[in-house]
Amino acid sequence: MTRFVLGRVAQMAVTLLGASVVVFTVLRLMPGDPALVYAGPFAGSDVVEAVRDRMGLHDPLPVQYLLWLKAFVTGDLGVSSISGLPVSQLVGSALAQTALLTLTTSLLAIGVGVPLGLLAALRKGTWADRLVAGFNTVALGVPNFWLGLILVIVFAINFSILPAGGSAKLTEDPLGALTSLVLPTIALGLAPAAMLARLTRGAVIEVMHEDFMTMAAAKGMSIGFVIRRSLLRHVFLNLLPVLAILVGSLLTGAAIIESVFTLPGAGRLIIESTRQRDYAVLQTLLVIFVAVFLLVTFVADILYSVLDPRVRGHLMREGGVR
Amino acid sequence: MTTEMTEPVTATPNAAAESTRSALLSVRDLQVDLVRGESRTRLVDGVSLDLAAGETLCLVGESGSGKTLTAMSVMQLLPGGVEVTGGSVELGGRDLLRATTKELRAVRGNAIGLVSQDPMTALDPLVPVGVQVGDAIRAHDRRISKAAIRARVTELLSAVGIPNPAANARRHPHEFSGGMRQRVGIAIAMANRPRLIIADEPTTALDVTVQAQILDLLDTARRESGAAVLLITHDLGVVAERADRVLVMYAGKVVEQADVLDLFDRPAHAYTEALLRCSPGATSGAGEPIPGTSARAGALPTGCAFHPRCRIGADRPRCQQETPALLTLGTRHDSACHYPAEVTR
Repeated sequence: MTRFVLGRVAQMAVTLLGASVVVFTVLRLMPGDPALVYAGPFAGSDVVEAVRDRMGLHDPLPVQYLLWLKAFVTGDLGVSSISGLPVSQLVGSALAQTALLTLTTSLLAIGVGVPLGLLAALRKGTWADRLVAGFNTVALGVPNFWLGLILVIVFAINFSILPAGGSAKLTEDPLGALTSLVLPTIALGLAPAAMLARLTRGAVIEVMHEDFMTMAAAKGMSIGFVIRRSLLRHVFLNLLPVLAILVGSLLTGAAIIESVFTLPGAGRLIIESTRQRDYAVLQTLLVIFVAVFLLVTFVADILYSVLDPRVRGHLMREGGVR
Repeated sequence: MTTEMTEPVTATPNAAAESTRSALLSVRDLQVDLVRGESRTRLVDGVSLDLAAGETLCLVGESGSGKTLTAMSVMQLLPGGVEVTGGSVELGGRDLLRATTKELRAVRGNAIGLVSQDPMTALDPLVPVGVQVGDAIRAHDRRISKAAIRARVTELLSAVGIPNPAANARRHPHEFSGGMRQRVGIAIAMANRPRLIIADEPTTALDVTVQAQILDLLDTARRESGAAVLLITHDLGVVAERADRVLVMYAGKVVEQADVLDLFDRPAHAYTEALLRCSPGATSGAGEPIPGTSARAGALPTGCAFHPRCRIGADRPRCQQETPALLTLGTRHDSACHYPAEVTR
């Protein structure tokens, strides 16, 4: 097990290094010049040159990359070329915001999607099943930014019962921070909830056909007992890879919803920094996004081996000592 | 409605009841259909059987002859779309076909224990085997303590020959061999001291070397508990060694039933004869295959369903046109063959 974990960590480090090269190169290939953005449209060419020099943009690309990498691994993420604020501070607060939204959205998606899928599967072919299928179609068909706008119009503008967004910090104004998350969570979580409902329904029906489910019935176990003992474990194992991708994409891809609700999250930060060619912020953010994806799938794999004794045994044999 | 459910169904004084006086399990004229919208395909057609406590009844026949469906009808655990559409299934005088879901649950795993065909798939791979045995106990006794379950599980695993039962109870199914898993399966079936054990080809998926051990274990369990055993098999060697009574099925119908010695000595149905001849171990038969393929439900031949493959009746108009009834030939020996006298062995 330990060897498996260490192997995976080494593998992730290599992947991350490769990703940093790609991120760095692609950003430099992007049209636009951060020095021009910083100096402004009315600056003379000598000023732009001076800025460019201070930003280190005259160095050859490999040198720039290695200097950045060295600083990055020693924990120095640099400063934003535009605002002058430390990158660690900018990225840190944005990621905290996004992580919070990811958490609430995942909870909504799982809390609504899995029970609905379970209901649809257990009542397969009835009106409940059809109702869930209808919900799924609608929820998957509606674009989340449009839903976000509608929610803002209805609940924030017409009824004024929930804020249209905001930047309250959880540590300073917990209630404000949480209420400002309600609408974005619904807008962002509805489609994943529907997707999970569909997948859960399919997984439940599949597991229901297993011999051990018939055996459980032959033992006289009630349906609730069987669901708790066997069904949910198998369904969760089935859903685990999808859940990993869902959490990963929420952590990295909530840009539009964050813009709609003016939440100061990672998605919005990436849009702003791209517009301003803020290399320092962009590089850090993109590398962290890659790291997040690697980490989430890694955690999913570990969870898989914890939950499935067959995989666990396999890993122990492959990995030698525990 | 309540009177029907609460009043115990006692044997009524008629002819059928007379013959089932001592029977623990009594199936009468069972019909099982595959229902798809308006269309119905008969899968089990008028099967009747009686099984007394302590007795072993073997259901024999080719795949698709309806043996498993007959057995699973007793537990009311049929696959989707398959329904019991007629007849009665009485266990200890109580009609299971009229029982509510809750009443059925109280019977399953309690009065009736099931040993499944494939021990590889019948156990949940994610759950330790001890827990799976314990669940069979907990399902019928919600208030039993964990310690009591653990003690009983250890006792059961030990009784079915699992070494080091307390430690092995914590292991998962994939850590056991097929034979060991089937032992766990028998422990589950025996957990609540059932009056009836249904074993659906319990050794088909196992190595030949462990088949006899598993059947011995079932026999021991039957003798010690006094339970009746309904054993489904297509192995006539198994039948000869284990059965008291034999019921031969073909295309959803009982074609012959007899005491085991009687059946092997004086088979009275051409299909039984063919089965005996194609089984190399059971008799002097040389392993002659039965010509043709098994009759398909929904496309049964007219007359006797076996006639296209029959040595005796293939060319006889009577076999081609007239469906034979199950008739008594002598003591406890019934056959549905037009020419039982021509059957040899």
